[in-house]
Amino acid sequence: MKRFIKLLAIPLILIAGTVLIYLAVSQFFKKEPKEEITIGPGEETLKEISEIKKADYLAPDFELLNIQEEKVKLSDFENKIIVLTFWTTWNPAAQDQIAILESYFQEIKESKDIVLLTINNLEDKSIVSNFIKRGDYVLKVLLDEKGEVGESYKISALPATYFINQEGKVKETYIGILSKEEIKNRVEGLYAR
Amino acid sequence: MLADFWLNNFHFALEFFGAVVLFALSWLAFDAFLIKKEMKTFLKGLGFLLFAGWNVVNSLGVKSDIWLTVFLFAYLLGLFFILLNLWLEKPPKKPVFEAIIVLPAISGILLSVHIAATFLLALIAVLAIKRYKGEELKSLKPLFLAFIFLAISSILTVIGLRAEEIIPLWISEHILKAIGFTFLTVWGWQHLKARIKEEMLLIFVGMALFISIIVTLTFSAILLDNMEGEAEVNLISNVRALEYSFSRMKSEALSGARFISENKEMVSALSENNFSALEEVSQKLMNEASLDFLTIADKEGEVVLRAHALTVKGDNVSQEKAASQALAGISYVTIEPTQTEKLSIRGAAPVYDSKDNLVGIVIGGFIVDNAFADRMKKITGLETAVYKGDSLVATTILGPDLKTRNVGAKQTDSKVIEQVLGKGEGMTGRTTIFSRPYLAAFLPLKNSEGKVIGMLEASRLQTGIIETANSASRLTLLVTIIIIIMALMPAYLLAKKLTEEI
Repeated sequence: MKRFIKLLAIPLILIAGTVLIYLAVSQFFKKEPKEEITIGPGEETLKEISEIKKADYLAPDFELLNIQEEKVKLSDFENKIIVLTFWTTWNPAAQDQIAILESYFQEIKESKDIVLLTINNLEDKSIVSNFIKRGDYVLKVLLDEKGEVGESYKISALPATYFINQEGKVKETYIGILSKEEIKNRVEGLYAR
Repeated sequence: MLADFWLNNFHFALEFFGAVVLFALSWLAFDAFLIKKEMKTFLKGLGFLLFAGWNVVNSLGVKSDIWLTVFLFAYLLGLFFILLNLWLEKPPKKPVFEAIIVLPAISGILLSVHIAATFLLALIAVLAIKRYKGEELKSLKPLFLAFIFLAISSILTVIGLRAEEIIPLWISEHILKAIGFTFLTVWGWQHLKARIKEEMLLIFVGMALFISIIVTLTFSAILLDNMEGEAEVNLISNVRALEYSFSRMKSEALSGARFISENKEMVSALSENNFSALEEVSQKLMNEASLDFLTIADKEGEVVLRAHALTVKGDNVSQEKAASQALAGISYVTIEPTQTEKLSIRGAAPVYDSKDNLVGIVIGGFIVDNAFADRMKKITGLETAVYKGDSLVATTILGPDLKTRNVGAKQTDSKVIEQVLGKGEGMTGRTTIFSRPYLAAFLPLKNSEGKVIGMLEASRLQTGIIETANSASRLTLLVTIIIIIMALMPAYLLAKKLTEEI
């Protein structure tokens, strides 16, 4: 019996010791101040709308001026994967989308298959080029000052992104903001199809 | 950051120490097997060898799923062999435990393997205790103690897989493991008492490893510290560049406002209240002066036109610092937050007609927003942030969703607030943003009266540096170990010769 008690006692003492060590160490670490930046207000308003839709229709062609005042047509980019994003400068989510697209563009600059087009919806050229200059963005920015192209694509909210495959067909539409990874995955999906 | 480094390398050193002990034990067992040719001794050797293999893999922090799975199972198998050996050496009368290992196929495999390992470790400990009690084998005491500690440490590993607060758990786990391996060393040492040759070899290998680990890690820590110091200096110069570009933009805003205020077309359109002409000329002038915004107000301070936002007008800006100075007839530039343009660099100039009467003011300048931060990042290559007071108005760092930016968040580090906002001094230091370690430099952002209105921050992610230091020290240690293994043979011969001479 004595032996049995001893057998039980040793592990119990050890476990108690472990708990003590654990508590002591965790106490020690509790004091370390946390310097996390807390999530700010306004986060919800940016995320409130996001909607993915599968699609399969021919992308309506258009001709618009870019901010360098050159004519650009969708049909200029035949046999290429096109990521088409509608945006405005007054929408913070759309602004962030432009920054994300810009960093994606820096990655795929060398690619001959992928084209990123952004269409500014209904804003004056001076405002748009001001914003683009301020951010030192080098993306292709087209100006849809009358909103006609936006209408032909039936955009309902901004930012809105259309994924167009090499046959010129819209395969997917997305309303809301996309991360770089999400854009990348969708573009790769267009290759596969 | 240094703490991260030490914790990480403590893990490495400990696991490696364990591996060396286990290798030694397995080698001893194989040695004994060569003499006695007993299957159970062979099992013991194999068991310890597999255990040691797992320790090596664990110490290197292998991430690949395949290898992890293979070595985890090898580890289990190893433990099972050790168990079997204990059993075979003196089978208990009744088998009390049936080791049934149930392993689900895909997810949660790590958890169940660790649970099984804990179970096996505990079982080994219990069997060792039984033998120790039954046969009064004093020599087994360190063995069961070792396995009790290893088992408890393994329980903590299991908890750690699910727990959120990992660090204290992790440290306790490693302390226990260290004690366990020490006992295992003591146990192994008993077998060596009569064998001077092996003793010498082990001392040689052990000392060499110990010294190389200490030297490498200390060296890396010093290097890391230096690198951090250098990075801080770089950050400071970069955040100064940021400050400089602010002051340059200030003078551009002022000269832009002056240039526009003296434009004849603009003056006549404003004094004649010709809005369509004013709209046209102001947009042209805003572009010419490359300003982000241009506001034209009448002599009461009521906004007549915003060239950058035509629909927003009619409000009164006379309360703003730059505007009020211009209304008093002084050209002025400052950084201030406003309703329409938010935080911006604002140059203001009075507009006089041909008879030198004040007819209004122009305010032009630059907006400090995320796009501005993006441009700064392109120039400096660093994450850039601007605060108004303690709240973030522009940043290049994306939130945890990797989409939106955390504008509006507050800087909660009291040291930063006190030194930068309170005392108006710059500072550098480590900071954590969304659970990632950054090294950051802060400078106060002052308006033209010298009052601190916010902060500038330049920061750089630090995980890269830690990883580099870790992999560098690991590589050094691995090379050391290979050299030790190569030097083992001559050392063995020397030991043999010496013992023969004795």
